[in-house]
Amino acid sequence: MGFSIYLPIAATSINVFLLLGLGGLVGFLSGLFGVGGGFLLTPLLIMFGIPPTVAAASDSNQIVAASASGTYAHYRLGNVDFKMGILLLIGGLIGGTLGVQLVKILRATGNADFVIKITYVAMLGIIGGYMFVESLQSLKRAPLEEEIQTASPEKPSFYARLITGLPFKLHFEKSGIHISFLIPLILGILVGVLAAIMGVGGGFIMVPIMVYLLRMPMHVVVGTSLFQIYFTCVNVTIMQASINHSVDFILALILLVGSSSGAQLGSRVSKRLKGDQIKILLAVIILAVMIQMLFGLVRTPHLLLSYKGGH
Amino acid sequence: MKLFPLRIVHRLFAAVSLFTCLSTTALYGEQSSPGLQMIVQPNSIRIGSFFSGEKITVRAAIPHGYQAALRILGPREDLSLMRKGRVGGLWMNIQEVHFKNLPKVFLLWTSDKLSLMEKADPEGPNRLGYSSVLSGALESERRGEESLLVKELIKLKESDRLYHIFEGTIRIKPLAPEVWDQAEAVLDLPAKLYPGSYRLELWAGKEGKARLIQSGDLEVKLVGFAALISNLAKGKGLWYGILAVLVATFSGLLIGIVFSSKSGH
Repeated sequence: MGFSIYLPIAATSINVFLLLGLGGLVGFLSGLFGVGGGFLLTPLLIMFGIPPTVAAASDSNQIVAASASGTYAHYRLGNVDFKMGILLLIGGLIGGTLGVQLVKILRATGNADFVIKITYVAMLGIIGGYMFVESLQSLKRAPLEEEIQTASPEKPSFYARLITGLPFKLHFEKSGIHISFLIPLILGILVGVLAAIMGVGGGFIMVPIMVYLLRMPMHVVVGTSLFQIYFTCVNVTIMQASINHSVDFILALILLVGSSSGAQLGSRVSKRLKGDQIKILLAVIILAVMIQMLFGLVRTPHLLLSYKGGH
Repeated sequence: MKLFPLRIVHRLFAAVSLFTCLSTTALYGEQSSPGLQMIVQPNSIRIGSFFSGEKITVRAAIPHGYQAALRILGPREDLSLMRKGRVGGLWMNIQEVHFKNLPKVFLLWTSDKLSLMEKADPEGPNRLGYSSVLSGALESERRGEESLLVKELIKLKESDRLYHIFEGTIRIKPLAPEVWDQAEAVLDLPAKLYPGSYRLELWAGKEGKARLIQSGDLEVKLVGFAALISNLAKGKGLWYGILAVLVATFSGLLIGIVFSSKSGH
């Protein structure tokens, strides 16, 4: 194998250009959509022979770089709502802690894997399907309406009345919204719980929540999501390194060179695309992952045994 | 010295050596017999940053007319795996399965079909193949499924190239006519190699009965930057994690700054 490098924690050798390419692809998606990309990269690394626990931990480490790079790029473009990001992050940390306890209870009852897989497929299907239909409808509307990033109906919905009626309102300048700080906090908790159950960073759940439930403009959503993902992955990397010793720094280093560059390109392409175009592309990727996962659940597996860990 | 023709001396020597070798191996299992040299080149493996597998050449003398096998067993481990099953028509992990004292690596090269080398002795366990190390390794209540689970374990390990049987890959050529043969093989070790002490064994077989002739250790160790990273990750996990985060953050920001300066922002 030419240009191979040995990964001491994964205990295997892999082609450097393959890793740069994988990192670049996932970083591009990260910069474009504001997702961490763990739900794509971890299965790909496992497919190329990296042990699942090392793949998941090292992936978190490289997302630190991609999200730092992407956040910086979006910050320069004025697309990061720090106030919103911090509230979502606090909610995410609380939700993550609650979610881990929930997984413990599910494991004790022996239903953990079933609940995790079904939740994963259902979340991907609902979010991807809704985003796809809504973005398609928005794209068909008149050009003037395109800049309105919400799927607002003619009369205010129950949810709209609820969020305007809650106390402790704050003004979020970058997002251009005036809502109670309880809303992002509660939604952050919800995403944290789901992310802990599914074992992912939660970017692909957080982005639609910011768009549809917080009604933030798509470009600010991407930058703010990356800002929040950065802190989540810093926490996961340090925990994995100190408890499981499963972070392969060399693997992460090569991936991050690719992903940080990819994130830069992604954030530029993101600026050139319309909000609905970004949403529809993300919806297609989410639905593709959901179909692949569903297929994996129905098809008889090639191997009846697998290593523990991974997503 | 003309009292006995050289050929008879050779045969006597071979008979005595073979008797000594087989009897000591049978009695003590692993003891190597004096006079039988196994040449291994290189005799240790160093894993550096650019390691992508290693080829080692083994040459050994075996009694004339015998088949040969070389076996490499990796360091032992206890392994927990997830067993897939169907729930509500969907495939998912349903149970943890534990194996104890498994070799991380099991590689076997033979000069002939393995079944021919092990066909006799039907009452005893197979001494060379997978079952010699996997028999009794399953630690589970699902004993009824042992055969299936062991077969699945082999499939999993083979897909990782950690377990493999290479039949017919040892060349045998005459060394001393009708007395000794030379077994020679190039062992292609995979890139997925764990550091530790590996066991290299030479087996010889005839009429379906294989015996261990000689064994030795093959050290596989990390060197250079790979060793530094591994030691840091295992010895100082927290600091390693913080360092990994700092490097990732600065690399990400640096790439961001480089890109923004190039685009004239």
